[in-house]
Amino acid sequence: MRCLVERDFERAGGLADLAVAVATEHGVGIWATAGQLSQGAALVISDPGRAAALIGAAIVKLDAIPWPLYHPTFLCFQAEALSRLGRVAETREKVDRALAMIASTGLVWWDAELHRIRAALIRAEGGGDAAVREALGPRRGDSR
Amino acid sequence: MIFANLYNYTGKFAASAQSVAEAARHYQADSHHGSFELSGLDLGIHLPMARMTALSLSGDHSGADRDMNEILRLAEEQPQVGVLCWAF
Repeated sequence: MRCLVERDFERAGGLADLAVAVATEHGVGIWATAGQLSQGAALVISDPGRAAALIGAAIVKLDAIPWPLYHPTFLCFQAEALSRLGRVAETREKVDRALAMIASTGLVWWDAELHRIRAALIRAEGGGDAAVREALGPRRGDSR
Repeated sequence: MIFANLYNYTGKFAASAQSVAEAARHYQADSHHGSFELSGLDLGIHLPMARMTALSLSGDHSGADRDMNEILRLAEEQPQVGVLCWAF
């Protein structure tokens, strides 16, 4: 995960490949799914189509267990991949889902990156600087 | 360690680092090596993992790199497949 935080995608991809190989060999499904999520995230720039597909398939599996910790993170990577493919409506869907999960869980550790993607999305939807500031600026009563 | 994780995922990285430091003061590898069987967590690896996350998200990449190397070394020395996959 640390390599994804720092966007060291080459190293992240190598570690994710190892995780998937070991988890698959030993039949540890949850870690194979987690590895697949990281494999997808590592491809977000080099192969966004495959990134979106890998993450999408893994998130479906992750939805089956009550463990929301990584959903916002990988929805954010999926949104970035979809954004790079020009699939604006799907990008909006993933960003909104991630925001809703963060609002309901308080898991804000991926907020900064999500807001970066959100700003790019607002521009792709035709919004300008004012729209970005309005969406991402401090809210009244927000003390963070 | 529970607080360290909670603080990381709720964006309180300095508080997380403090919790890791406090946990490390109580951790003794010889007496806690069975923590995986008790909790599903290998505390010996979880300490540098939580610290690495806090350091990385705080921008201390060299510190995070040091912890990451320690995590991978410890993970490959222990027998649990799930812990190894988690560390990757």
